[in-house]
Amino acid sequence: MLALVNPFTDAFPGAPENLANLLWVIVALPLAGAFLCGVLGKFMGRANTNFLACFTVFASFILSCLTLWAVGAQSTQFISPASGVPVRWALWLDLGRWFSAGDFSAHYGFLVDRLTAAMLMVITGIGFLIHLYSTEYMEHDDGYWRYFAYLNLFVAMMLTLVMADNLVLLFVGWEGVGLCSYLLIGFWYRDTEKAWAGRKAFITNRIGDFGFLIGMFLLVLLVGATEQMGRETALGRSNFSDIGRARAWVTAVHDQGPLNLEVLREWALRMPAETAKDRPGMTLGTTITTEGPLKGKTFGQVLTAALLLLLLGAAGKSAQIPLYVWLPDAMAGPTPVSALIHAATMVTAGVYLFCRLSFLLVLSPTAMAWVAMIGALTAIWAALIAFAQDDIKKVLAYSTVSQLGFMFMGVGVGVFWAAALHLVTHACFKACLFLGAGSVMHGNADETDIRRLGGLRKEMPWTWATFAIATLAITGIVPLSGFFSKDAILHGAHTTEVAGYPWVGHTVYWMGLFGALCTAFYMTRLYVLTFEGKRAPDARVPHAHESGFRMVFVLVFLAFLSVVGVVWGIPELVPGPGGRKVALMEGYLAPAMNLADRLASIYDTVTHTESSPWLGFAIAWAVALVGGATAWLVFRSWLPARAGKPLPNYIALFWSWARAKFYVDELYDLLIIRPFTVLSKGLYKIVDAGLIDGVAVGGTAGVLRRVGGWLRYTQTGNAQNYATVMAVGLLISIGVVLTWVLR
Amino acid sequence: MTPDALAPYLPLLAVLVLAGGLGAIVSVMSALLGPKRPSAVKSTIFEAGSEPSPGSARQRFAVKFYVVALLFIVFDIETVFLYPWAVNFKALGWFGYGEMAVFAVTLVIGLAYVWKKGALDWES
Amino acid sequence: MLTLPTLTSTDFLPLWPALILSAGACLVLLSEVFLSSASRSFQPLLTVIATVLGALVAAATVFSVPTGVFGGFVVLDPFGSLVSLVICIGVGLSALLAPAFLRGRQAERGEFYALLLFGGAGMSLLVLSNELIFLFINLEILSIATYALAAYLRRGPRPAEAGFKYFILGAFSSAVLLYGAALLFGATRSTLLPQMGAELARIFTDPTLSDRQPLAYCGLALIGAGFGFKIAAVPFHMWTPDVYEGAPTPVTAMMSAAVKAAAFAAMVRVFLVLGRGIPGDALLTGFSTLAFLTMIGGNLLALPQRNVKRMLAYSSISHAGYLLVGVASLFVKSGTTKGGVLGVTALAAGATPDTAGALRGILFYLLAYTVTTVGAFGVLGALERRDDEVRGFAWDLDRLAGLAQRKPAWAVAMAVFMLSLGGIPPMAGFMGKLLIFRSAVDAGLVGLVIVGVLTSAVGAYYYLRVVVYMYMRPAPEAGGLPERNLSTELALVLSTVAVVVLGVLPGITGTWLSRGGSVFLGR
Repeated sequence: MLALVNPFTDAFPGAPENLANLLWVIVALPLAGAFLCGVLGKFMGRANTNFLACFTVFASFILSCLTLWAVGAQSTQFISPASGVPVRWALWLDLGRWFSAGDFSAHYGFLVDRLTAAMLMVITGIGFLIHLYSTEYMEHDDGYWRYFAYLNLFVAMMLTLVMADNLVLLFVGWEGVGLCSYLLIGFWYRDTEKAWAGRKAFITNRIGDFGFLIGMFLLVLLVGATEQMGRETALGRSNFSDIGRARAWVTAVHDQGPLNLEVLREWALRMPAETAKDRPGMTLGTTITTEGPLKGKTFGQVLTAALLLLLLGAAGKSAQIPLYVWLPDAMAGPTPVSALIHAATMVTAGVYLFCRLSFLLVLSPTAMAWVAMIGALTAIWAALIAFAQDDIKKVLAYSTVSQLGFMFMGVGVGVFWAAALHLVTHACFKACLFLGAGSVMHGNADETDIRRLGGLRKEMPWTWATFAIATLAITGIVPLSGFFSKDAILHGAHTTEVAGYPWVGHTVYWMGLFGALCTAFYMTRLYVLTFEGKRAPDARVPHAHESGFRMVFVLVFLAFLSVVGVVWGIPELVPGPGGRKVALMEGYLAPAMNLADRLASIYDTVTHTESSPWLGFAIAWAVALVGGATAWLVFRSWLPARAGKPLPNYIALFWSWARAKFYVDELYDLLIIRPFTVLSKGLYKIVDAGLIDGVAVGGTAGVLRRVGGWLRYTQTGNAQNYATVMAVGLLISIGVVLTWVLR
Repeated sequence: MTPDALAPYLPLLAVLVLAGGLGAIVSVMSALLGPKRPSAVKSTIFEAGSEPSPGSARQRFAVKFYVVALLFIVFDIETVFLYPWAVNFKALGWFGYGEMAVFAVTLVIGLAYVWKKGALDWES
Repeated sequence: MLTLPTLTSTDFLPLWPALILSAGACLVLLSEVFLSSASRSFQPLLTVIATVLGALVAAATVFSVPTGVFGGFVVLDPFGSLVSLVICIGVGLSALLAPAFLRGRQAERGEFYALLLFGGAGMSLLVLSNELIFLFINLEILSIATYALAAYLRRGPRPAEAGFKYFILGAFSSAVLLYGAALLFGATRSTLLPQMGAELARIFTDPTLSDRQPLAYCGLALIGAGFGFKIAAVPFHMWTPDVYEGAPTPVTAMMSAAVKAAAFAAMVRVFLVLGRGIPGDALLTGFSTLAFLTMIGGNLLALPQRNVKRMLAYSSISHAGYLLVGVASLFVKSGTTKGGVLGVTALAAGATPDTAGALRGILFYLLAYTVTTVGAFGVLGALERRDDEVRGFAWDLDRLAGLAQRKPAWAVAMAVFMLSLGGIPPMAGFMGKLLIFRSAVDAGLVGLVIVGVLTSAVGAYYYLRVVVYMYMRPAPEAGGLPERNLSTELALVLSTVAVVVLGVLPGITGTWLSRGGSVFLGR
């Protein structure tokens, strides 16, 4: 799929503007599909619904391929509304103003640069494959129309998220995918536990979204304060000395709105960090003097606060500490949903957000350190929990959390391209793993406990082969796609120094390495228990059956992608910026990330030391081999040999803690949920039931109803009385006029 | 209200006086000059074709009378409108013709409806 | 020598909707007698086509420049065109509700649709009338059609009662209005509204003519009372619940939607044109008193009702009250301040009465209320059963219990209508209230708006009670289900969609409605 297009062509056949005008179709197609499936799906029948849902996503995919091609071409550009300067390798479509409130406005606009194009490939490409897989997976479910409507809606929302040209529209997509996730987790809503899992996901995400919203508000205030100080203070004016470009920016702030990405990019350029002392004007260290809630804070403080709040939002959506708890429970949904939403696309939204806002992130080393450390902690924490899970989907869920942690590490140490690459490769192999798990469940009467599986290698050869390839890709035992992307992150962490936090790079590196070791261990365990050895005696069905053609085809295709994805990560492959040889993905994303790199190097917030990656690769390889081999030995030889004997104490203790997910759910329950429940119950009884319902509502309603009841007696039903009332009213009004008005 | 304001209504007053006066004169003349030969039948109360009702005045009437009366009034009014048109036929020209045609056709539609509906069918 | 008025096609432009409706009515009538053996299902279709054509023509004249045509008897202005449009929508939707209703009572006859259309033509002409006699004739055309429609199902005691009461009280109010017109004619010696307005201005400025002032005031008050009857404003509202309850439900829908819109528009036109010369705040006081009484009376009377149809009748009264707030804000003269609930509160600088804005608000409200109320009566009409009507519990709240389980889509539609009537976002009713209250606040009628908001809150109680019954009460054992009927469902779908769309995207009426503030006031 990715190899189909050469990203470095110089020209795009046909005018890119025409393609830009069609960007909305990419979103509109699945949206229309969702509508039709939802409204007419029941009447159209299963086959038509299947076809329609797959077709819309596939058509979107074709268009996405075209845009990928277009943004690969040098001739593709648009004039940035915020600076009047052309932006190359990107398409922009402004559909006009969406709403405005006071000084604030937001447009409905789509922006596709190379980062978005890569995301488009993942969403529509893997999205289509999973739609195709679902047609077989859901063939016995009567809610198919609901399912495909949600799934199409999800694709539309995710596309909105990645194509939005401003944070407000991005937030629409952000909330939209959250909604679809909720709907699909609780898809089998008759099962209370599954419905609760949906609720848990929704509420946890709401906590993060709250942070996201506040972060956006802070950014709005920040841009507003900059604009106002630029007008009103001498210091500020010097930031706006380039009259034409400054005017374009101010116009764009009011017209396009402060949260437009181009406006924010231009803001980042206008707001030099403290280190650039040679330029007069406002810096990030300047104290804001205009009236408002930000008065007295520095620009840098506010930016850091905003980014940390966005981190909270990203942690919610991308399942990072402390908000990761919803993702494992989200496996209650149908397995293809887990593959698409809870592994390949939606959960990577946080990573995408920070790649998108990389130019802001590099201005705040504090925020970067936080992102990196959160990611590293999550990577290890989730991997440890995954050690002891017995549910095949739970293991994969924790693995997803852990891998997302890796991506956050990459973002946090400023190797955005590596994070994006890991996002793409992870989407391929994790989708393959999840769909493989789905295939296993499909063939084993929905059995998910890996202790009751085993020996599937012979019975499900296709599933086995693809699962094995994907496992190798994620563990990095054999250098497939996941190996290079993960190690690009680790290498980046090793060679990066975040200003003011010199320890972050190394700490993250070692933690990441340990995470990689754990990954290899638990993934090998999962693989061994599921596919190797003999079939468990207490299995649900004596013999598993291989899945049908459509499912197998998708598995094979995804496994293929997991292998060929390696092309994008091989280091020193193509010439990149600055004459260095870089990996394909780094070169490809360079136009999208160049502002972040430029800002980072100008203001020295992130320093990369050049070094050959190969030694690091060797170490990582060794680590993965050790992890994998240990697991193989333990679960293939040592444990079966010790059957019946108790485990050593220290292992058993760890095992029981890890199995209980280190009691985090219970901790949250004790610390947050219970106090809240008690408080809200109390408030309900005293304020709601007592004061509001009893006195305010009930009292008022009672009095009003009684008055109305008395008034009813005026309605006698007697026409003479009615006429009398009219006449009396008329006489009174004439009397009033004649006595008072005329006097 | 000044007298000039009512000036346009002077012809109306004239018509009133003429009509009232004429009626009065005719009644008076017939009372004075007409022969009087009263009989039992002649001195009963005249009630538009139906039997005089000796009992309660709240008897039920056939609605047919009203329908016919209504139709009469409608076509009477039509004549009232047709007459000035005929007088000014030339001055009004095709425009007047068109207007009257619309008016007449509307009434014809009404008549057709009433006819088919059976309102003119005295027996049923 | 006879001088003929030269009439051009512009003179006929505003009349087209009425002409189309009348022609449709004639066609339906003739089809009734000449094609009576055939199926009658084409009659509602014909009716709807006529209203759609009428609506299209009305919409086409929205962008015209306000002028007087037919020697000043008729106006061509966007306000009139827009109200004609709303009337056509109201009549068309009501006609869609009729077939199922009439079939259930073996009363399918073409006269019903013909009367609907004749009434519609009268309404359309009423809002375009710029002369009192012409206006009165049109008022009578629409009234007579409505009297007949109210008593259409003449076999039951309730329809007969409804028709009789409506006729007697309507004749009374017509007489009042006519008397007021005569008094005004006496005072101004003209029946053309613009000339009357100019003359009234003279009466109130020229001291030598001050003896005509009482005449003018009494005339205005009487005309106001006459209109007050048609729009069901307290204290001229007494007929409303009995008539609305007794009339066939599609007719009730038409009365509460189209007739009310027409009467409101005519009233606004008459008083806007006449009121320019009236000094002081006599008109403001009059209308704000009416608004105050109507909002409070309508809502309080609706509160204890268990009979949903009656409740909707009272609700229609209360909505007339909210509309009257908008009307009152038309008559605030800039610079006046007067305390009290009904008075004008001085606001921050810059708040000036915005007549065009208030007119737009009234128009939007009329449109929103039309689609909402037709839909609400439509649901009700489809649920009622003939044998219960005599006993009077055909429209009891229990009839709606558990509707959400039995007929989810109907329940959703009804819930949408109830929320819209209650003025709860994101429904059209909310936007309408918002626009009206905003223009009233701009004009300084803060006290009245506060009363409006408080009474809306009271209203939410009885509207939401319907929703509660539909969604939270179990369905009765023997609850019969309405038969499916395409045209009823079409009407409900159309009005539900309209209510939601108008509420969420009020801007789609944008360019058209923005013309609504343009009223022909005469030279």
